Amino acid sequence: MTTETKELLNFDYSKYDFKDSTDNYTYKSEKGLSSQVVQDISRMKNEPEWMTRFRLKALEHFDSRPMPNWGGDLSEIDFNNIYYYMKPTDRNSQSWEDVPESIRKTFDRLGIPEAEQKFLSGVGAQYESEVVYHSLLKDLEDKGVVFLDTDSGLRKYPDIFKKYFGTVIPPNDNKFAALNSAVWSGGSFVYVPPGVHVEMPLQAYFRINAANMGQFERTLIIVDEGASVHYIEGCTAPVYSKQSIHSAVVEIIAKKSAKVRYTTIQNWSKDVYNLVTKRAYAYEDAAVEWIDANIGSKLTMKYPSVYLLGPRSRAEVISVAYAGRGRHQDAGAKAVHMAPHTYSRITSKSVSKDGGRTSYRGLLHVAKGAHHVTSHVRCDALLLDEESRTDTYPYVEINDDTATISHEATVGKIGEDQIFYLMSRGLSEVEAYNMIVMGFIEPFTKELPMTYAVEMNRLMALEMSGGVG
Amino acid sequence: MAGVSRETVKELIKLRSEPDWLAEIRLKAWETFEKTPLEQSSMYVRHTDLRSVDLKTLEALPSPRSSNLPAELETYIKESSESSLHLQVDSSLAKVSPAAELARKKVIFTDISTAIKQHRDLIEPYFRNRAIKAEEDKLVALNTALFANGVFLYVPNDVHLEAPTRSVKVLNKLGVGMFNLSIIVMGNGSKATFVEEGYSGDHQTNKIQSLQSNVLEIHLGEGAELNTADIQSFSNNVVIFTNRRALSGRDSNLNWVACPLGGQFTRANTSAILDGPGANAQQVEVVFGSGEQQFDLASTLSHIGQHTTGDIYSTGVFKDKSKGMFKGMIKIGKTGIGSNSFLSEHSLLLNPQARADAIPALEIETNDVKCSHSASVAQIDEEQIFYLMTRGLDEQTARSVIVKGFFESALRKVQLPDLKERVAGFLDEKWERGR
Repeated sequence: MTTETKELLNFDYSKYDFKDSTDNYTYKSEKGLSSQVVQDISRMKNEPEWMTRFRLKALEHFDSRPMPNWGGDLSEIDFNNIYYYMKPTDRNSQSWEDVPESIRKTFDRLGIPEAEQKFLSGVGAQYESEVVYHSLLKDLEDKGVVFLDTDSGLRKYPDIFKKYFGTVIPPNDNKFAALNSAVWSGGSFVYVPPGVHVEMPLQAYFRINAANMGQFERTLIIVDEGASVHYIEGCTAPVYSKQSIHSAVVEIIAKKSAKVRYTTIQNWSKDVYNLVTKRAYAYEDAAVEWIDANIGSKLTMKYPSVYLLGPRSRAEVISVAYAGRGRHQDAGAKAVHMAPHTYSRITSKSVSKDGGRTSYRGLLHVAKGAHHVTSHVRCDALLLDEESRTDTYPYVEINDDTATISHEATVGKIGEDQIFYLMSRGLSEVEAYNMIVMGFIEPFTKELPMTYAVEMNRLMALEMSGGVG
Repeated sequence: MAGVSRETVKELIKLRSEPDWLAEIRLKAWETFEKTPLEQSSMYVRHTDLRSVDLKTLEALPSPRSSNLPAELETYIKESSESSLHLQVDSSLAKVSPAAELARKKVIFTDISTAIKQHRDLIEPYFRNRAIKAEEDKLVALNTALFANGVFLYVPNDVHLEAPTRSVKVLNKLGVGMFNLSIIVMGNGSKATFVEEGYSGDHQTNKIQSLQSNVLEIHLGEGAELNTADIQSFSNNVVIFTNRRALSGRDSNLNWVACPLGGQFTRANTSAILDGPGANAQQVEVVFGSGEQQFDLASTLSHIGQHTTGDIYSTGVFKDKSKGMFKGMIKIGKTGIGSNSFLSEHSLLLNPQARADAIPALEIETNDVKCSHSASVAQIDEEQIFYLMTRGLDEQTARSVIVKGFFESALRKVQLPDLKERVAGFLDEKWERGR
């Protein structure tokens, strides 16, 4: 690498960081976690009693469960130094103009909203723990599609909500699912009635803003028989010096012949612990796709899963991870085949740079009696320098002899000859590196809606040249 | 005395009138055994299950006199005058017969107890600084506390051994605990072959468990070359714990083949630490499970030196209710610049009840490397059967051809023609028997 390139890479990019004042929150819970805090959260939200009980039970489970001893380093998390609930404004804004100036400014700096207004069919933007902006196009409403923040979902559709909430990921699933179940707030609640196809993606932007601020959104997506939807979750977050934790739970239910795609671009700031449980149930002939990119955060542990419960159901996971300095992306995917003739494909692409570490951790399970399962897993890792690290931990468990399973992984670096070739065509060294990395993650970007693909490329270019924090 | 305890360890020390330094090592290892959890890697906790193993009824101490060799095994053990043989029947040593060339070339080939007595200065350093530490694995700790037999092979610098050295273990009695520790030291530029074989007398139907605990440590000097193999066809009441490790010096070459065919439960942990620049290791595992056999096979390549190369080829065929688990790991450390490593784990399931798990992991800490792995689990393709039948084979023969073909891809990696033939013969035999 030339000195010029090195200088570019070592440039202080913190001036691009995002940071807003936290003074105008209307409510902040006490720091730390106790049954009192959990009860307060539930009371603040006027929740029915079953939800309060659900939260308290989850808290018990969280307290009794040990920290996972695998994956990334979780030892620095101090659960007592986190705000578990914050309410930034009093009410949900009805239109974009009502969103507070300071918040709009941050979105503007990300270059997101106006340009995409036409494209969006509904925007649920989570600012801190509360949804502050929410709009839903009229034709969606007419079709009977529900797209609300999860708290409103609980209030307005108590029956559907209670029937599905916590069924895919019960509070005792893992320590962080228990934490989320105890203190969740915000997130999206989506219900698509039978046979309805939502043409435009539903999307929500999430941001963390206060230091030591916990973000525990809870998303529940139910897609009824023969319906289809694409949900997009994007995250950006400002830089703060103290650790922050983001522990979301996303539950998806894809009923018979339903089709769901869930796209995430995760770009938390580099002090955030991103510990997320995402799982989908796919019934007969249903198709579930997780398109998942992890770029930011200090440590991400996230393994989107699909439980293939009905015959001929399909799962596709495309996972991209980028780990820059001081970051660990422990990401992957799980496909659990419980029914015959089910299909899954997992593609993972990871890039490590400046001593960052990417780990692919995956599970492919074929249950006894799930005959004629087909699954392909492919993991490719790119190491951009000699200090960076990559790991692959795929678990393949096959209990049926009719399964056809393949798994491949490669690790490599960018060849000097590739860089040389591109530079001989007039690109700078940085541009050449960028171009190769873009090409490497292309299986992911090509699945994104156009605007996101552009944003993703912009983000990667920024990351590649030193990082946005 | 049945079972294993601290008392057993003490009794063994007394029985063998062992020196204090060794007694101390044994007792310390016993302590480690008692306090160490079975699985120390958080990666594999969910994939470790030793519930089928019972140490309580074992006779762990070596019997003073070896029992007779079962007649049906004679053919396997048939000695050739060229190769060296270490023969062990149950827990006692039956015979050590070094080939003529060994004395001429100043090669030491003896059982471990004799080596401790007669070559203390040579062997003690390898006890003081073990290739596999007792703390790393509960089962190694157990072995260290109780090992009673094993081979010490010492090949001086630049010595080439033409004929193979063999260590043959025969289980004749029931409820026996066999604890073996073998140490191989290969001098700079030396070359040798070491083959371990295990057989049982015919007591397939008996439920009384026997235990085979084996630890093999290999020290390869600069440019040394070792071909080593472990083939066993114990009966299905034997539990086998194996830990093998090689420490590879500069430009050394190691080929090892593991072919566990018998036993009720086999847990093997094989690792090559490629310390020296340019060192190479190739591990071939060929497994054929039937009945209710279980195989838990972990293989690790650790690339520490620059430009080290390694391959792991694991191939398994599982029928009936058998179960196989391949845990492969390639580690390339910060210093392993220019390393090239490949891991492959392929299984064929022949029955709906059979199962195979694969965990092919990579941990890569530097970028100028080539590293990849592949894993697959599949069944016999009916179209292939159909094709072979159109060419005049009956269905059974067609299946057998396909299974043999599947093994062939792994057997091709076996370097020594003799060895390859032997492994192929065992696989054939098991296939025939299984029908």
